[in-house]
Amino acid sequence: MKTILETSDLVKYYGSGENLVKAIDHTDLQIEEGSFTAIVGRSGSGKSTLLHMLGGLDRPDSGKVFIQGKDIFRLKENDLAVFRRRKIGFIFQSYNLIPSLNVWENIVLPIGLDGRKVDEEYVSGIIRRIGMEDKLHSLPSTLSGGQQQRVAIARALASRPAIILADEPTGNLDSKTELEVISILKGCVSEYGQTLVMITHDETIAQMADHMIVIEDGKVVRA
Amino acid sequence: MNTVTRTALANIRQNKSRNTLSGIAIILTTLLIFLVLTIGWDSLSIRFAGVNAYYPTYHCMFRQLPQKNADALKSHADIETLGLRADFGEIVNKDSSILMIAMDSEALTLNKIELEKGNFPEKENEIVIYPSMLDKLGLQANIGDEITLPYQLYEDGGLGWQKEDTFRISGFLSGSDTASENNSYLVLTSMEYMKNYIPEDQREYRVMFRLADTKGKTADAIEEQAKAIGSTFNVNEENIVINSDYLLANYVDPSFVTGIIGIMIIVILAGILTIYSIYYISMIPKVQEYGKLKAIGATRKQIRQIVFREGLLVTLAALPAGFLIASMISRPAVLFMFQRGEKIEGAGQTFNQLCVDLIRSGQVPLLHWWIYLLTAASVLLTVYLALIKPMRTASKISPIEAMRYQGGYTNHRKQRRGYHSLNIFRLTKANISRNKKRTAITIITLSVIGILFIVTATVLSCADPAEIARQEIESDYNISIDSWENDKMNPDRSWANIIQNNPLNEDFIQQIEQIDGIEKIRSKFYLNGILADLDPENEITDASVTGLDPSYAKELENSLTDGSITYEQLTDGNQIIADSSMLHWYPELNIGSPIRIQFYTPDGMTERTFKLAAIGNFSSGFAPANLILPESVLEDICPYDLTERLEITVNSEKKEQAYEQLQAMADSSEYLVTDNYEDRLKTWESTMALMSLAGYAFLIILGSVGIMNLINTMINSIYTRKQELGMMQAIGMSEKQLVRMMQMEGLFYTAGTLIVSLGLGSIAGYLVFLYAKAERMLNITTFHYPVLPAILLSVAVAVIQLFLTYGISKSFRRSSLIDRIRYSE
Repeated sequence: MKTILETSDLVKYYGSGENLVKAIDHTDLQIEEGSFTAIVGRSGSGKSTLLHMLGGLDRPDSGKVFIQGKDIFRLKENDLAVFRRRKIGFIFQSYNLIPSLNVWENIVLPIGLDGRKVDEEYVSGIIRRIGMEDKLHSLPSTLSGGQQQRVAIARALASRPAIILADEPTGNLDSKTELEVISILKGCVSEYGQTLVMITHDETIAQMADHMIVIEDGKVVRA
Repeated sequence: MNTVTRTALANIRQNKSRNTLSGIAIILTTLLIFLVLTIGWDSLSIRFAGVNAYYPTYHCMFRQLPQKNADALKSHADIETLGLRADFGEIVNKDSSILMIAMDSEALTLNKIELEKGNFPEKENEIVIYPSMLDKLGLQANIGDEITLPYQLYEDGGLGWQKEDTFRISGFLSGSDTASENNSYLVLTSMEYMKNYIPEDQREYRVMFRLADTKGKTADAIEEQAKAIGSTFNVNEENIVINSDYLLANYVDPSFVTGIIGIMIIVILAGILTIYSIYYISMIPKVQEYGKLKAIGATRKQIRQIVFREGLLVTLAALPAGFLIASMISRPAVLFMFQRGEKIEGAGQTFNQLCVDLIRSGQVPLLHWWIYLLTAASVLLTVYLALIKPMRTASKISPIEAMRYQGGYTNHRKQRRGYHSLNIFRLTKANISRNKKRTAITIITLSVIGILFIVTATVLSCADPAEIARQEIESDYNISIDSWENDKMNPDRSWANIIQNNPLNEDFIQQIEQIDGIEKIRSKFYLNGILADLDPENEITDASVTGLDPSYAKELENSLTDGSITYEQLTDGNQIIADSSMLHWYPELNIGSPIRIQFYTPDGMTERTFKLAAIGNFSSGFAPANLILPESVLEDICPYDLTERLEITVNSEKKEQAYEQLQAMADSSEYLVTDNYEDRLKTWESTMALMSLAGYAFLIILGSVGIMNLINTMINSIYTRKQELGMMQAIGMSEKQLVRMMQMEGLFYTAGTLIVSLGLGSIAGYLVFLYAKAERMLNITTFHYPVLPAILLSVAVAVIQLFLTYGISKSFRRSSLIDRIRYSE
């Protein structure tokens, strides 16, 4: 299989002296195209920082991140933003929908920001897949947590990114909804041929992944 | 320190930007209230100090009082001090007026008579005089020298035979130059001298007195009391002279207090709106915190106290800062006002000079402890009123509601129609319409000051100095007759007397025509009388009629606002035109109403009745009187020379010389006064410049209060959405798009503020213009839209907005994207 995402000697430290935190400490990893990778580790192990680096949200102190062979941190700030919205979809723990926009608008927002036309058939397909077709005009505040996270998943998928990065997407959900959301996410990814990288500390979910990367003190201890 | 105060203190540290802004708003409000009070009060107290230094200090004067009554008044219980003055003769001199008067020591003090040198007369034949009078009489003498003066005593209401006496000069009066300018002098003798020559039953005194226990009384009350005393001594109304300048200067004038209170209310309202808006808007991110405090056991009252004490602590820090700045600005500001006033030509000029000297010498205290107290109280009240709503919101919210609070966003909307596809513009629109109430409050509070600005600017722009001057004088230069009625002392000033030997005769006009540069002379005529039916007692107004020659026909016909008649038709002598001011006094007047007038003529009263044919808006420059007839009709009623003024057009290149010669001609008769367009224009220009400066300075400070509000709105609209904006960036919004979105939001507030300010401001401005026109305020007649101020306001708001957006977005972008996303976690 082809490698879609790769890091080389990635380093990110916070603080200095006694307070030095090695959030990412010389990490190398490869992720294959179309795979589902779970990143696990304890709280504070550096997994969120790693995910932010992978998605180009934060810059490393040193080292490189390649997406589809491109060194993303050599891009200028603005180009990186454009690259991000085309190649990467983010899903966060706290859904982070825009409260002033309805469900449909939230989902098509990344496409709009990219100045592209909405592929209605494709987006409608996703919405059907997440089962929100009768809630298109609802505002986020009227939705349950599970529903909001499903909208967030649809938003991440809508611009057809190559990679979906999910940071504990089910952290705020009850276990029944959790499984439901994960299976939707997994289903979508395989259906649309995308690569999924997910942070979780839930062993059950990690077991559903194709690969598991374990992080401890900023280092990959098992891949 | 208890927990509530400690929490409030901690909040101050945490909400630095909001508290800085509300602190600045409080400082500015303090500054405004303090300056309004100080400048208002000081300009009065300096003026009054000037009056006190300048004017006599008696409250009232009774004229023509016999010796018996003067003595009785001296022991009147209500009278504190009383001085006597007797005018008992005149020095014989052809071309100046030299009165002989005697004054007792109280009268000298009350009148502030000062000597340049020497002593007041003590021995019988001693006198004090102006040194300049000696020059006038061609005499040379010094203190201690004796001079011989011919004089006539007042006897039986007239002048007696000429006498001569030798006097010893005991002192020289100060103010000699002014006396020679006015060509009016006096010889001050001892009381004994007067008593020796005027028998007791013929003595007439001017009795000047101060009432006892007047502290805290109004000028009106003092006037009333003085008049009551007068009536018990049978003093005629016309012989009671109230020293109004002095009374107004020393006793409270209610209308001034109303004005100051009015301005203060505006300032306080603006302050309340701004501080309220600052707290209301920044409440949103805080509410969740208050919810948490409640969840751990804070009571409603404690939450209210936390909000209140936070505001109070900020006020306590801002107030001294405001006082410090205000105390430093006050003196230069007051001084500046009077210095500008000093430059305005005219009667007030010397007086303003005196005031400037008083300020410079530090004789008048400019800062007052009670203004500090009053300001502090007003500011505290402002802050308290502004905090009521935020306090209630914070205390009422339940812990659960608080966690979800979005600043009124818990509205009942569940659905949004939305757009099929999104772009930055639509995203901005969605955000602005998210909380319509907040958006509306922001725009309204921002606009209030804008509206005030436009209204003030409208008034100032309508009061165009060139137009006002033109209203007051029709031509370049005029020479008119200074006449008045009902003056027993000066019966020669009555119009019926003057027209028997009118100085503005044919001969005079011909002489003017000879002057180089004179292009045109037009005459205006005048006759006066009593409105026999409308005002038979002559209590409201005279029947004054301006007579116009046929050359004014067109102008006259074009100025009519109600009814219509031609000049030609008026010459029949049965109809008359009235100025609209007549309707003010006699609202019952209609077109067609009869107006019966009894005219004063040298041959007695002549009565005519006219039909009111039309009403017009005539400027005082066009028709000084309130009724208008053709010249021919007036001459028919009273066949004398009725010329009242000459309107003279002068070649603009030869003005200076021509004016000089015209002035010289007018100086040949004591009945003539002159006026010219340039002087009027200059006076109005200086006056309006000062008014504009004061007005705009006030608005600029008030505007700064509004800007704090704008800054707060912008900061909050961005910082409360920090995480949301970070999220948008995470899913692909570029920095450029972010800045564009912020700019669009800013643009929306700018446009909204300007539309409301200019829209409502223009409407309100026009209404104020109509009111000012109807009330003849500042001679406003024509509406001028304040184009330049409106443009300046728009540019200023836009530029400020642009800088704000730039600054805030720059500081926002300084935090990393990750921080922004995590902001709320």
